[in-house]
Amino acid sequence: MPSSKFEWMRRVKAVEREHIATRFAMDYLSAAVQRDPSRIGGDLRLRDFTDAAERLEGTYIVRLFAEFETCLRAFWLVALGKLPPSRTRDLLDGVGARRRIPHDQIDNAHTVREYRNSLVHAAEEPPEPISIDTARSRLCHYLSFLPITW
Amino acid sequence: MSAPSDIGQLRDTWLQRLSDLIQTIQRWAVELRWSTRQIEVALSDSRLGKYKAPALLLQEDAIRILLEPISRSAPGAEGVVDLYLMPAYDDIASLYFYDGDWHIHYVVPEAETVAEMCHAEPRPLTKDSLRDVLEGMKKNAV
Repeated sequence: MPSSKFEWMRRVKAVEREHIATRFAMDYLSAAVQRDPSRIGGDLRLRDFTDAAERLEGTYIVRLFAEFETCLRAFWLVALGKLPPSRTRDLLDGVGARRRIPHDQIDNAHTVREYRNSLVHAAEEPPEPISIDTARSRLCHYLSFLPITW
Repeated sequence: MSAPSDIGQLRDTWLQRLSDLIQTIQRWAVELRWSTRQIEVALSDSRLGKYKAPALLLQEDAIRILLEPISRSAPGAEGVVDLYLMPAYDDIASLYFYDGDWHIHYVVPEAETVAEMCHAEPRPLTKDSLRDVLEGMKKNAV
Protein backbone atom coordinates (compact mmCIF):
# COMPACT_ATOMS: atom_id res chain seq x y z
CA MET A 1 0.00 0.00 0.00
CA PRO A 2 1.45 3.40 -0.92
CA SER A 3 2.80 5.62 1.85
CA SER A 4 3.17 8.66 -0.39
CA LYS A 5 0.66 11.50 -0.59
CA PHE A 6 1.36 11.94 -4.26
CA GLU A 7 0.71 8.26 -5.10
CA TRP A 8 -2.67 8.44 -3.34
CA MET A 9 -3.60 11.60 -5.22
CA ARG A 10 -2.71 9.81 -8.45
CA ARG A 11 -4.95 6.90 -7.45
CA VAL A 12 -7.88 9.30 -6.91
CA LYS A 13 -7.19 10.92 -10.28
CA ALA A 14 -6.95 7.49 -11.93
CA VAL A 15 -10.52 6.69 -10.84
CA GLU A 16 -11.73 9.86 -12.56
CA ARG A 17 -9.89 8.87 -15.75
CA GLU A 18 -11.48 5.39 -15.61
CA HIS A 19 -14.85 7.09 -15.36
CA ILE A 20 -14.13 9.11 -18.51
CA ALA A 21 -13.15 5.95 -20.39
CA THR A 22 -16.17 4.02 -19.15
CA ARG A 23 -18.51 6.92 -19.91
CA PHE A 24 -17.17 7.00 -23.46
CA ALA A 25 -17.73 3.23 -23.86
CA MET A 26 -21.17 3.42 -22.23
CA ASP A 27 -22.35 6.23 -24.52
CA TYR A 28 -21.11 4.30 -27.56
CA LEU A 29 -22.82 1.09 -26.46
CA SER A 30 -26.06 2.82 -25.46
CA ALA A 31 -26.32 4.43 -28.87
CA ALA A 32 -25.68 1.07 -30.56
CA VAL A 33 -28.34 -0.84 -28.60
CA GLN A 34 -30.90 1.92 -29.06
CA ARG A 35 -30.35 1.75 -32.81
CA ASP A 36 -30.61 -2.02 -32.77
CA PRO A 37 -32.13 -3.53 -29.58
CA SER A 38 -31.61 -7.03 -31.01
CA ARG A 39 -27.93 -6.64 -30.07
CA ILE A 40 -28.87 -6.94 -26.39
CA GLY A 41 -28.17 -10.45 -25.19
CA GLY A 42 -28.95 -12.59 -22.15
CA ASP A 43 -31.34 -11.23 -19.53
CA LEU A 44 -30.43 -7.63 -20.26
CA ARG A 45 -33.03 -5.05 -21.25
CA LEU A 46 -32.69 -1.61 -22.77
CA ARG A 47 -33.70 -0.16 -19.38
CA ASP A 48 -30.60 -1.76 -17.79
CA PHE A 49 -28.37 0.28 -20.09
CA THR A 50 -30.25 3.48 -19.30
CA ASP A 51 -29.95 2.82 -15.55
CA ALA A 52 -26.24 2.01 -15.85
CA ALA A 53 -25.60 5.20 -17.81
CA GLU A 54 -27.56 7.32 -15.32
CA ARG A 55 -25.76 5.89 -12.29
CA LEU A 56 -22.28 5.65 -13.75
CA GLU A 57 -20.91 8.87 -12.29
CA GLY A 58 -22.30 8.07 -8.83
CA THR A 59 -20.71 4.62 -8.97
CA TYR A 60 -17.33 6.17 -9.71
CA ILE A 61 -17.75 8.79 -6.99
CA VAL A 62 -18.22 5.93 -4.50
CA ARG A 63 -14.93 4.41 -5.77
CA LEU A 64 -13.19 7.78 -5.73
CA PHE A 65 -14.14 8.31 -2.11
CA ALA A 66 -13.10 4.74 -1.24
CA GLU A 67 -9.53 5.51 -2.42
CA PHE A 68 -9.53 8.73 -0.40
CA GLU A 69 -10.82 7.02 2.75
CA THR A 70 -8.35 4.14 2.41
CA CYS A 71 -5.54 6.68 2.19
CA LEU A 72 -6.66 8.43 5.39
CA ARG A 73 -7.00 5.13 7.27
CA ALA A 74 -3.55 3.99 6.10
CA PHE A 75 -2.05 7.34 7.10
CA TRP A 76 -3.67 7.24 10.55
CA LEU A 77 -2.54 3.69 11.22
CA VAL A 78 1.08 4.24 10.20
CA ALA A 79 1.67 7.87 11.13
CA LEU A 80 -0.26 7.89 14.39
CA GLY A 81 0.38 4.25 15.33
CA LYS A 82 -3.18 3.45 16.35
CA LEU A 83 -6.44 2.28 14.87
CA PRO A 84 -8.34 4.98 13.00
CA PRO A 85 -11.85 5.98 14.13
CA SER A 86 -14.58 3.81 12.68
CA ARG A 87 -16.76 6.76 11.66
CA THR A 88 -15.55 8.40 8.47
CA ARG A 89 -16.71 11.82 9.68
CA ASP A 90 -14.38 11.50 12.69
CA LEU A 91 -11.57 10.28 10.47
CA LEU A 92 -11.78 13.40 8.25
CA ASP A 93 -12.01 15.73 11.24
CA GLY A 94 -9.21 13.92 13.09
CA VAL A 95 -6.74 13.99 10.21
CA GLY A 96 -7.78 17.56 9.52
CA ALA A 97 -7.00 18.61 13.08
CA ARG A 98 -3.64 16.83 13.18
CA ARG A 99 -2.51 18.23 9.83
CA ARG A 100 -4.01 21.70 10.48
CA ILE A 101 -6.06 21.48 7.30
CA PRO A 102 -8.06 24.69 6.71
CA HIS A 103 -11.72 24.39 7.74
CA ASP A 104 -13.02 25.16 4.25
CA GLN A 105 -11.01 22.24 2.84
CA ILE A 106 -12.33 19.90 5.55
CA ASP A 107 -15.87 21.11 4.88
CA ASN A 108 -15.39 20.52 1.14
CA ALA A 109 -14.27 16.93 1.79
CA HIS A 110 -17.32 16.44 4.02
CA THR A 111 -19.62 17.51 1.18
CA VAL A 112 -18.20 14.68 -0.93
CA ARG A 113 -18.56 12.24 1.99
CA GLU A 114 -22.20 13.28 2.47
CA TYR A 115 -22.93 12.91 -1.23
CA ARG A 116 -21.22 9.49 -1.26
CA ASN A 117 -23.39 8.48 1.72
CA SER A 118 -26.53 9.56 -0.11
CA LEU A 119 -25.55 7.40 -3.09
CA VAL A 120 -24.88 4.35 -0.91
CA HIS A 121 -27.68 4.71 1.65
CA ALA A 122 -30.46 6.50 -0.29
CA ALA A 123 -30.87 9.51 2.03
CA GLU A 124 -34.35 10.98 2.61
CA GLU A 125 -33.06 14.47 1.88
CA PRO A 126 -30.19 13.93 -0.54
CA PRO A 127 -27.57 16.70 -0.74
CA GLU A 128 -26.86 18.60 -3.93
CA PRO A 129 -25.21 16.29 -6.48
CA ILE A 130 -21.47 16.78 -6.93
CA SER A 131 -19.78 16.10 -10.26
CA ILE A 132 -16.85 13.70 -10.29
CA ASP A 133 -14.34 16.39 -11.23
CA THR A 134 -15.47 18.58 -8.34
CA ALA A 135 -15.26 15.58 -5.99
CA ARG A 136 -11.75 14.74 -7.20
CA SER A 137 -10.65 18.36 -6.85
CA ARG A 138 -11.95 18.63 -3.26
CA LEU A 139 -10.48 15.32 -2.13
CA CYS A 140 -7.08 15.96 -3.75
CA HIS A 141 -6.97 19.39 -2.12
CA TYR A 142 -7.54 17.77 1.26
CA LEU A 143 -4.89 15.10 0.60
CA SER A 144 -2.36 17.75 -0.36
CA PHE A 145 -2.10 18.65 3.34
CA LEU A 146 -0.77 15.21 4.27
CA PRO A 147 3.00 14.79 4.60
CA ILE A 148 4.86 13.84 1.41
CA THR A 149 5.52 10.36 2.83
CA TRP A 150 4.70 8.57 6.08
CA MET B 1 3.35 -11.25 -28.33
CA SER B 2 6.53 -9.13 -28.28
CA ALA B 3 9.90 -10.67 -27.48
CA PRO B 4 11.54 -9.39 -24.28
CA SER B 5 14.14 -7.45 -26.30
CA ASP B 6 11.34 -5.71 -28.24
CA ILE B 7 9.65 -4.79 -24.98
CA GLY B 8 12.93 -3.51 -23.59
CA GLN B 9 13.46 -1.41 -26.70
CA LEU B 10 9.90 -0.03 -26.53
CA ARG B 11 10.41 0.94 -22.89
CA ASP B 12 13.83 2.49 -23.53
CA THR B 13 12.51 4.53 -26.47
CA TRP B 14 9.55 5.80 -24.44
CA LEU B 15 11.65 6.63 -21.38
CA GLN B 16 14.23 8.43 -23.51
CA ARG B 17 11.45 10.41 -25.20
CA LEU B 18 10.08 11.36 -21.78
CA SER B 19 13.50 12.25 -20.43
CA ASP B 20 14.21 14.52 -23.42
CA LEU B 21 10.81 16.21 -23.00
CA ILE B 22 11.29 16.80 -19.29
CA GLN B 23 14.80 18.20 -19.76
CA THR B 24 13.52 20.57 -22.44
CA ILE B 25 10.53 21.76 -20.40
CA GLN B 26 12.68 22.08 -17.30
CA ARG B 27 15.10 24.33 -19.19
CA TRP B 28 12.32 26.50 -20.62
CA ALA B 29 10.52 26.68 -17.26
CA VAL B 30 13.67 27.89 -15.51
CA GLU B 31 14.14 30.52 -18.23
CA LEU B 32 10.51 31.57 -17.59
CA ARG B 33 11.35 31.84 -13.84
CA TRP B 34 9.45 28.79 -12.65
CA SER B 35 11.11 26.51 -10.12
CA THR B 36 11.14 22.82 -11.03
CA ARG B 37 11.64 19.47 -9.37
CA GLN B 38 11.89 16.14 -11.14
CA ILE B 39 10.14 13.22 -9.47
CA GLU B 40 9.53 9.58 -10.33
CA VAL B 41 6.10 8.00 -10.82
CA ALA B 42 5.00 4.38 -11.15
CA LEU B 43 3.30 3.46 -14.42
CA SER B 44 1.61 0.31 -15.61
CA ASP B 45 1.31 -0.72 -19.24
CA SER B 46 -0.28 -3.78 -20.84
CA ARG B 47 2.90 -4.50 -22.85
CA LEU B 48 5.65 -2.96 -20.72
CA GLY B 49 4.27 -4.06 -17.37
CA LYS B 50 5.09 -1.94 -14.31
CA TYR B 51 7.93 0.55 -14.51
CA LYS B 52 9.10 3.91 -13.18
CA ALA B 53 9.11 7.07 -15.28
CA PRO B 54 10.14 10.67 -14.72
CA ALA B 55 7.62 13.45 -14.03
CA LEU B 56 8.12 17.16 -13.39
CA LEU B 57 6.72 19.57 -10.81
CA LEU B 58 6.74 23.27 -11.68
CA GLN B 59 5.99 26.06 -9.25
CA GLU B 60 5.69 29.82 -9.37
CA ASP B 61 4.47 31.46 -6.15
CA ALA B 62 1.37 29.49 -5.10
CA ILE B 63 0.78 27.97 -8.54
CA ARG B 64 1.89 24.34 -8.84
CA ILE B 65 1.77 22.34 -12.03
CA LEU B 66 2.47 18.67 -12.61
CA LEU B 67 3.76 17.23 -15.88
CA GLU B 68 2.80 13.57 -15.66
CA PRO B 69 3.39 10.80 -18.23
CA ILE B 70 0.14 9.00 -19.07
CA SER B 71 0.78 6.51 -21.86
CA ARG B 72 3.45 5.54 -24.38
CA SER B 73 0.80 5.16 -27.07
CA ALA B 74 -2.65 6.43 -27.99
CA PRO B 75 -4.61 6.49 -31.26
CA GLY B 76 -2.55 8.65 -33.59
CA ALA B 77 0.17 9.35 -31.03
CA GLU B 78 3.33 7.73 -29.71
CA GLY B 79 3.18 9.22 -26.25
CA VAL B 80 0.81 11.19 -24.03
CA VAL B 81 1.77 13.45 -21.14
CA ASP B 82 -0.68 15.56 -19.14
CA LEU B 83 -0.33 18.90 -17.43
CA TYR B 84 -2.33 19.32 -14.24
CA LEU B 85 -2.98 22.22 -11.93
CA MET B 86 -2.14 21.04 -8.43
CA PRO B 87 -3.14 20.20 -5.78
CA ALA B 88 -6.66 19.81 -7.20
CA TYR B 89 -5.32 17.70 -10.10
CA ASP B 90 -7.37 19.76 -12.56
CA ASP B 91 -6.86 18.90 -16.24
CA ILE B 92 -5.22 21.78 -18.06
CA ALA B 93 -3.43 20.53 -21.16
CA SER B 94 -2.19 17.37 -22.83
CA LEU B 95 0.98 16.78 -24.83
CA TYR B 96 0.89 14.28 -27.69
CA PHE B 97 3.94 12.98 -29.57
CA TYR B 98 3.31 12.56 -33.31
CA ASP B 99 5.05 13.41 -36.58
CA GLY B 100 8.33 13.22 -34.69
CA ASP B 101 7.53 16.00 -32.21
CA TRP B 102 5.47 16.98 -29.20
CA HIS B 103 2.23 18.95 -29.65
CA ILE B 104 0.25 20.70 -26.97
CA HIS B 105 -3.54 20.48 -26.74
CA TYR B 106 -4.71 23.24 -24.49
CA VAL B 107 -8.25 24.31 -23.71
CA VAL B 108 -9.11 26.60 -20.86
CA PRO B 109 -11.40 27.20 -19.15
CA GLU B 110 -14.36 25.90 -21.18
CA ALA B 111 -13.17 22.29 -21.51
CA GLU B 112 -14.57 20.14 -18.76
CA THR B 113 -12.87 16.82 -19.34
CA VAL B 114 -9.68 15.23 -20.57
CA ALA B 115 -11.65 13.82 -23.51
CA GLU B 116 -12.56 17.31 -24.68
CA MET B 117 -8.89 18.29 -24.72
CA CYS B 118 -8.23 15.72 -27.44
CA HIS B 119 -10.30 17.96 -29.72
CA ALA B 120 -8.49 21.16 -28.77
CA GLU B 121 -6.55 22.92 -31.50
CA PRO B 122 -3.01 21.57 -31.19
CA ARG B 123 0.15 23.68 -31.29
CA PRO B 124 3.72 22.50 -31.63
CA LEU B 125 5.41 22.46 -28.25
CA THR B 126 7.80 25.41 -28.11
CA LYS B 127 8.97 27.73 -25.40
CA ASP B 128 6.34 30.26 -26.58
CA SER B 129 3.45 27.77 -26.53
CA LEU B 130 4.56 26.54 -23.11
CA ARG B 131 4.67 30.11 -21.81
CA ASP B 132 1.12 30.72 -23.11
CA VAL B 133 -0.11 27.62 -21.30
CA LEU B 134 1.66 28.51 -18.06
CA GLU B 135 0.29 32.06 -18.20
CA GLY B 136 -3.20 30.69 -18.89
CA MET B 137 -2.88 28.32 -15.96
CA LYS B 138 -1.90 31.18 -13.68
CA LYS B 139 -4.93 33.23 -14.77
CA ASN B 140 -7.21 30.21 -14.41
CA ALA B 141 -5.92 29.44 -10.94
CA VAL B 142 -6.54 32.94 -9.58
